[in-house]
Amino acid sequence: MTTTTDRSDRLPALLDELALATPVAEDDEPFVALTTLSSGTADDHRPRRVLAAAAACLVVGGVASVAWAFTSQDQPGDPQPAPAAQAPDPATPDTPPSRLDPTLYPMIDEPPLGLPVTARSDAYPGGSLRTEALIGQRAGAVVSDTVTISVHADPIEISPMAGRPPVATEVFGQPAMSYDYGQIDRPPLTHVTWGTGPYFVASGADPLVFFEVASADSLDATVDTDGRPQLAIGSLPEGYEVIVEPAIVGLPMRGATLSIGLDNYDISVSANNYVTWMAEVAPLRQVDVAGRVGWMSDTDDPGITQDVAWQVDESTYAYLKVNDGTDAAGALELAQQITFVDYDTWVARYLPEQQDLPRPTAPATTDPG
Amino acid sequence: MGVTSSQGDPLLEIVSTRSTSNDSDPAGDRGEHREVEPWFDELYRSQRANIVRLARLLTGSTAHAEDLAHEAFVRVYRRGSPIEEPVTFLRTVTVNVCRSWHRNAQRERLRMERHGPAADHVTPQARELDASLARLPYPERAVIVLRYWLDLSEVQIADALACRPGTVKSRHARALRKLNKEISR
Repeated sequence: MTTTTDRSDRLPALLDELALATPVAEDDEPFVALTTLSSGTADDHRPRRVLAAAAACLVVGGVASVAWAFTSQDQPGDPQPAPAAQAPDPATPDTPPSRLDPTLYPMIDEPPLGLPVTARSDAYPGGSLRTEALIGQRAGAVVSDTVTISVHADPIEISPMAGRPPVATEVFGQPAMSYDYGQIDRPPLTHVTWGTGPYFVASGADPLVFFEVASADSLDATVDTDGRPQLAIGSLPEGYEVIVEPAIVGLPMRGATLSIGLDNYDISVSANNYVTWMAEVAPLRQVDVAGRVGWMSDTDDPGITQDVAWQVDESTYAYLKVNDGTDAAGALELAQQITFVDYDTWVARYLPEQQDLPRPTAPATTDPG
Repeated sequence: MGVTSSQGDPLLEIVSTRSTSNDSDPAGDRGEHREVEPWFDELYRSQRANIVRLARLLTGSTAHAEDLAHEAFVRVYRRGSPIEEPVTFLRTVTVNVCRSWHRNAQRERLRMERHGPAADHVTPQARELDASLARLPYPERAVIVLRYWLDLSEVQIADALACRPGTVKSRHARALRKLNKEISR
């Protein structure tokens, strides 16, 4: 029998240490609230975000334009600003997009237990740009031994988890580092990094098992002339297959969430495939969501949230998270009830709390297929 | 004092404690500058650093702490009139802003930042606690931070988290059990 000692007496000092290590800009900076007014002039075609970001950078020392994303939120019930004139999207079929927005947004007509529904739209400023794919071993509807392969154009730095140092290893004969990201009450998670450019990260319960049977031609990475990493999956060892095709991750993007009840259910959409994330927590089980391929975490662990992820259209991925003890069948049933509409219809229906973004860049469609 | 209007772009309203006669402010030709009320100015200047640090502890994100703290001040400012207990109100708003950030941004944030560098330079013990806090559900994390960093009572924490004191007690016990398991390694 193991016992644990009450260490709570150490918490105040450790929390204080963390708090005091937080950099805080000079206190003599003035308070500046950037708010949007509803009286935008029709003849002003300057993107609002440019003005806001410029002002934010001007008056809040050291705070990058991401500050704007958090300081310009409208409150629920506030008058909705007139849609900003949309700047022409520089993206053409020949140039990759500079941001990713979903084209469809979630609605639910009959929330469970009649719980209230609130909506929110978030702006994500973008992170480490990479191309990412998910592979795994399939046995019937269940996919396990998943490995997420990420390719970066620039060198990457992984923070050791809880002070655990990385372990030197090899991938395809190249020196590699393995980082143990195991968490309490969670399956193990390991990140393996290698490469001298492009730079690889493989994440999963034990990615090295995959590399023991894979050959160097399984993965091929390059960097485009525009600096974006590309990943091609070649021949895979027997039993492995591609679950999520390589796709760019880390561009600025919009996400939207419907929250049902206080913490009961969250339904999110974005242009990022949530399945890759889910695979880090548990094996995946393929399900049918209104005629589309969906995935659920395949686990009986009560500590792991029931969730369902599925692709709604080419640029929209949906994710349902259940927090109230609903079982897998109930979660899937709820997912089947979610419908999707274009951005304008969604905003009109839910009046979401949202950040002051330009309208979605991708053309909206009301046909989820 | 008061409102100074300009003939510029009506898209932005800029409310600032900055002097309205600051001609060097290039935003001044396209917005309105309105000085904040003294009570808010005092609140901002006295509490800003604390609120940034609270946001850091509640989210684990040094990169976003300033932004979230600012968002909390914006929400308090928008409320308008002087508030009876402004520090308590500001603290509650900060807890809610950080909670919202957790609920809506966590997955995307973690996916984007997972490969980022460590931001803080702290002792291994503090870093270990930071990692342990990151694994707690937000309500439990908030209870730990409010209890052990702000030294709030169960009733005060319940007020801030909009739950019953009994809920605070159970969350506290659960969180402490997990942290003890980790810290005692």
